[in-house]
Amino acid sequence: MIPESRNIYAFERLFNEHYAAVLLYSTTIVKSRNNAEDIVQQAFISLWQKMGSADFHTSVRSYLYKTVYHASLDFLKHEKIKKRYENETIQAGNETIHETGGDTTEIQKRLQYAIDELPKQCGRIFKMSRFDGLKYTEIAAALHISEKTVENQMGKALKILREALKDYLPLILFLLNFYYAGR
Amino acid sequence: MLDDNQIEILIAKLFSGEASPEEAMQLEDWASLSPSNRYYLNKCSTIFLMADDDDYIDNKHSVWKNIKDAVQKQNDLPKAATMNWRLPGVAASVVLILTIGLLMINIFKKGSDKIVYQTGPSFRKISLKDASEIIVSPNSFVTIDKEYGTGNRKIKLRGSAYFSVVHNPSSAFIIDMGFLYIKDLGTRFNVITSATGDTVFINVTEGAVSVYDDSGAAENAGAGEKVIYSKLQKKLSVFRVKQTQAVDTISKKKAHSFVPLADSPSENYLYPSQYPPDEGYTPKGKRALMYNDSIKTGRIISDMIKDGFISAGQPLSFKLTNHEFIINGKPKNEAIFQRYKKKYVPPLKESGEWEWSHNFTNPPVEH
Repeated sequence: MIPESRNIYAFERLFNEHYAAVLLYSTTIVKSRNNAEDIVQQAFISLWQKMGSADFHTSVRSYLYKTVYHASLDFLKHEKIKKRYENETIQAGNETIHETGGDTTEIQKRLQYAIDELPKQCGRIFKMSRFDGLKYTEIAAALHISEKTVENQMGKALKILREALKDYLPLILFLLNFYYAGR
Repeated sequence: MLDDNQIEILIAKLFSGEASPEEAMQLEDWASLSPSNRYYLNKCSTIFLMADDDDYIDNKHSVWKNIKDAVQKQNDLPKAATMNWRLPGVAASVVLILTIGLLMINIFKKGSDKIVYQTGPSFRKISLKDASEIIVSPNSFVTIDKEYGTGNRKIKLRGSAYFSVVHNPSSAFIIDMGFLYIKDLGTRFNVITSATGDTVFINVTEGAVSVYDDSGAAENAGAGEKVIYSKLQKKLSVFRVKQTQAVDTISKKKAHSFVPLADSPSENYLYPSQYPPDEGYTPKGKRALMYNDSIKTGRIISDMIKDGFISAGQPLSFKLTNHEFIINGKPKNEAIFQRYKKKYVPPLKESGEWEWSHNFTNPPVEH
């Protein structure tokens, strides 16, 4: 799709068309909606700048997805460096960190139970991905299996979790709908 | 075309943060194919994102504002020393065309292919060609095509109405609310828009409806079920409630009493006619409060419009306590305060204090 000329109203239409999808994509990478919003915001501003350039001939959608992808990975890289720095600083100062356990909601308990009930290898792979933050390639290397197997097992985990939590999903939606509507 | 297994794998990849941009776009294309696909993806999103980040607010509006401010700063608006007459010339042409258009609409109004029913302070009953009936609530309007029943059964609704639709398997009855679409094949249901316009309630008393929003989310609801749509949150939800009283909007009786079912998420609901006890500030009570807030707010706003204190659609702020009643920054006299106090303020202990405010910290500016 050839980008439209730089008209703010046309640009707003593009924003409305693509915002939700690219925001979701960024959120899945950076695992934080607030940070994803910042990344997506910057991507749209960058798109505006590019659209003003005579040599911008790529699809708007493709540009947004790729920009958001790279920006999200850069964000994660930066966060890793920050964390490493923080850890080094803490160790140098001999400070101790006390992690306070927050209250676990009913839904999170159910989710945890459902995860614990996954088939052995499936559950292991799922936990390595979701909680240890390992990439598929890293999981495959650690367990001496193919990346394709990791992909299949993750798909299987999703199917099982969805089935296990289907009775609670209306409640989840109710909580999200009314709790945040009241803010 | 992706099969189910491939979709599951792709979705798992996406929510694990492993999907490439092409895979993410592929999944988005799949989700766009049908409302049920979109619905499925949203539900998976709920599971995965709840596990990591269950504390977010939809900031689309403020994100757009930031983008707009940034791009407008980048625009080099020429500070021309001489007037550019082209723009006023274009504007004048547009005004002229609009004026001619409006005049033509007036002239040919009799030949218009749509009928608009707009209600004032009272209800209005409409009988359609196919024997379906609509009871339009006060301050609402319904637009019906003159060809209704021959090619389509589509109507537009702004506000609230009760529908009794005759079954016709070959022609779906569709209500277009602009941001929300309700489809049914023969049923009785009620559509209520909250006074603020943010929430739409669809209560099905008989048959079944499908409800879609403009982002592709969809929900089905059968008899005894209720769909709630939040425009701000763009969320559709379905609840099972036992409706103890049929809707009788013509005689202006209370539309519903909700009886929570033991297995329903609504078990924490309070009856709309009850005021939340002090336990209303517990997490459970707070959820019920927030659910009832829309109904309560709608009711008091309706009363204020009826009493002539405000007009429908205008910005509003109010504060009602057990000592005073302030609307748009102006305190009401004792008689009016006592009337609203009797209706809305719950019984309190001797030294008790109670307050209900709406938009009070950011009141509209009166001109």
